[in-house]
Amino acid sequence: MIQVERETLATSPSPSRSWKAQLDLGFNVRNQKTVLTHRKHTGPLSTQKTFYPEENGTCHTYILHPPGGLVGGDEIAINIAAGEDTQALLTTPSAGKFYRSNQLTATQKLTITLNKNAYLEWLPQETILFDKSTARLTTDVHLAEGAHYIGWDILCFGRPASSEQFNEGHCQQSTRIYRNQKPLLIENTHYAGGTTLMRAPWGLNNFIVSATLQATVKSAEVLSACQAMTKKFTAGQAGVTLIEDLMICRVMAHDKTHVWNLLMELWHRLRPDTVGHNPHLPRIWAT
Amino acid sequence: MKQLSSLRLLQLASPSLPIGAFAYSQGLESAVQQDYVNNFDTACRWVHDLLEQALEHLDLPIFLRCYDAWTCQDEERAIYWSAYLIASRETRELREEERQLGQALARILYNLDMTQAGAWRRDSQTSYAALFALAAVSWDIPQEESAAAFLWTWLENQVAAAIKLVPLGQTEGQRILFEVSEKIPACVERASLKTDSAIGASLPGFSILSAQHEIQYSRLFRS
Repeated sequence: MIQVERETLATSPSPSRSWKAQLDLGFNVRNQKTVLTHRKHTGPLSTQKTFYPEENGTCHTYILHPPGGLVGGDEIAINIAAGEDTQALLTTPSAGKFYRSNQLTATQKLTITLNKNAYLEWLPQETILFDKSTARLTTDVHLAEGAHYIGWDILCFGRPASSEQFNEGHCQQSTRIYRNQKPLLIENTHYAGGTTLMRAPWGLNNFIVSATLQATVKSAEVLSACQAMTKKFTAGQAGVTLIEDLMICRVMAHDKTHVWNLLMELWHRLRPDTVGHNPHLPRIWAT
Repeated sequence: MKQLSSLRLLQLASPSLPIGAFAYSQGLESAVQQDYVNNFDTACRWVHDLLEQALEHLDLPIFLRCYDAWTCQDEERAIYWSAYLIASRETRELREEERQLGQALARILYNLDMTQAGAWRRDSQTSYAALFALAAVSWDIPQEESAAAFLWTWLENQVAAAIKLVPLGQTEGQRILFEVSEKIPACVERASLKTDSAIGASLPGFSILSAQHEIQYSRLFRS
C-alpha cells in the first residue's frame, strides 16, 4: 500500500525524500460549456476526466493526489484559474492526510482566481491531521467583479478511530479572500496540539473537527435560513455571519459526519442563491 | 512637555472618551449566556486568554505598524494595515465595532484640530487601532506606552462588560484589571517582535460565539 510506504517514510527527516507537486488548472467557456482548457502538473497531483452531470454545463472536476497524504517536507500547490462566465465544481475523491513528520513542515497551497462572473465551488473532502504532523495550509481566493464562490475546509485533528489524539501536532491554516484585489477576509489560525486553544471555549472547546464554509451570497434571506440551520445544530457548535456579500459559517464537532451533514444542508440552501442551480451531488461522494 | 503627553494619553485611554466602546462585549455576552464564563475565575481566564491569544497576535502588531507608519507620515501604509485589521475581524459585529470606534475617534480627533483624521471619519476601512496610533503619534506619546494603553482600554472595557454580565462585584473587577494588566508589558514586547507573516490569530470558538451573539434573543450589548 502506498499509504503504508508514506507513513514509513515519515520517520525519515531527510528532505531529499520529500515530494513536490503542482497542478495548474484553467477553465474557459467553449460552446456554452465550461471546459478544462489548461492542465499542467508536476509530481503526483492530477485530475480525472471532467464530468457534466448537470444540464447547465457546469464542469465537475476531481483532483487526485495518488500518494494519499503528505509527510514533512512535502509541498503541494494547486492553482485554479476560472475564466469569465465559467461554472466549475471541484472536489476530491477521498480525505487529504498529513502524516506524522519529523519537524519538517508539509505545505499545501491553494490559489483560486475567479474572473468576471465566474462561479466556482471548491468542496474537498476532509483533511485529517495525524498526531505529530506539521502542516501549513494556505488558501487564497481572488474574486473579480461579479464572481461567485462557495468553498469549505474541514479539518480533523487526530484519528479517533485509532484513539490517536492530536497532542503534539501543529497546523497553521490561512485563508484569504480578496474582491478586486482588496482583502475581504483574512483568517490565520494556529492549531497546536496540547495547547489551551484545543480546549478553551474560545478555541476548539475540546472538539476535534473544525470546519469553515465561505460563500458569496446574492440575497440577505439566505442568511436567516442558514442561521436557523446552525441554531438547531446540537452535535457541536456552529455560527453564521455575513460580511458584505460573503457569508461565513464556522462549525466545530466531535464527529466529521455531523459537520459534513450540516455543510450539506447549508450548501443545498446556498447553491441556488449563489450559483443559480439546484444542488447536484458529485458522484464520487456516494462511493 | 513630557507631562503634557502623559495627560494626552490619559485622555485618549479614558473610558469617558465618547467613542461608544462600552456598548460592545465582543463575544463575552454570548460566553456568559452559554455559561462558559460564570464567575470571577472564568471571567479572569477569559480576558487573560483573549489578551494573549488574540490581541497580542493581531490588534497589537497592527497597532505598532500603524504607529510606525504615522511616525514616517506614511498614510498609505496606515491605510493598508487598517484594511488588513478590518478584513481580519471574524464576524459582522466585530467588524462594525472596529469600524465604528475608529470613525468615532476620527471625528473627535478632527474636532481637536487634527486635520489628518478628517478623511477617516467615513471610510469603511477605518479601524480603532489606526486612529489610536494617529492620536498617539500626534501627541508625542512614546510607542510602548501607547501600545500598553491601547491594550488597557480593551481590558477595562471587557472588565466593565464582565461586571454587568456575569455579574461581578466592583472589587472583583478591580482584581481582574490588577492581575491581567501585569501581563501587558510582556505582551507588548512579544508583539513588537512579530513578523508580518505571523500576524493574525483567529479563534474558532470565539468567532462562533460572536456569530451567535448576532442572533442572541435578548442582549445588553450591541451587535
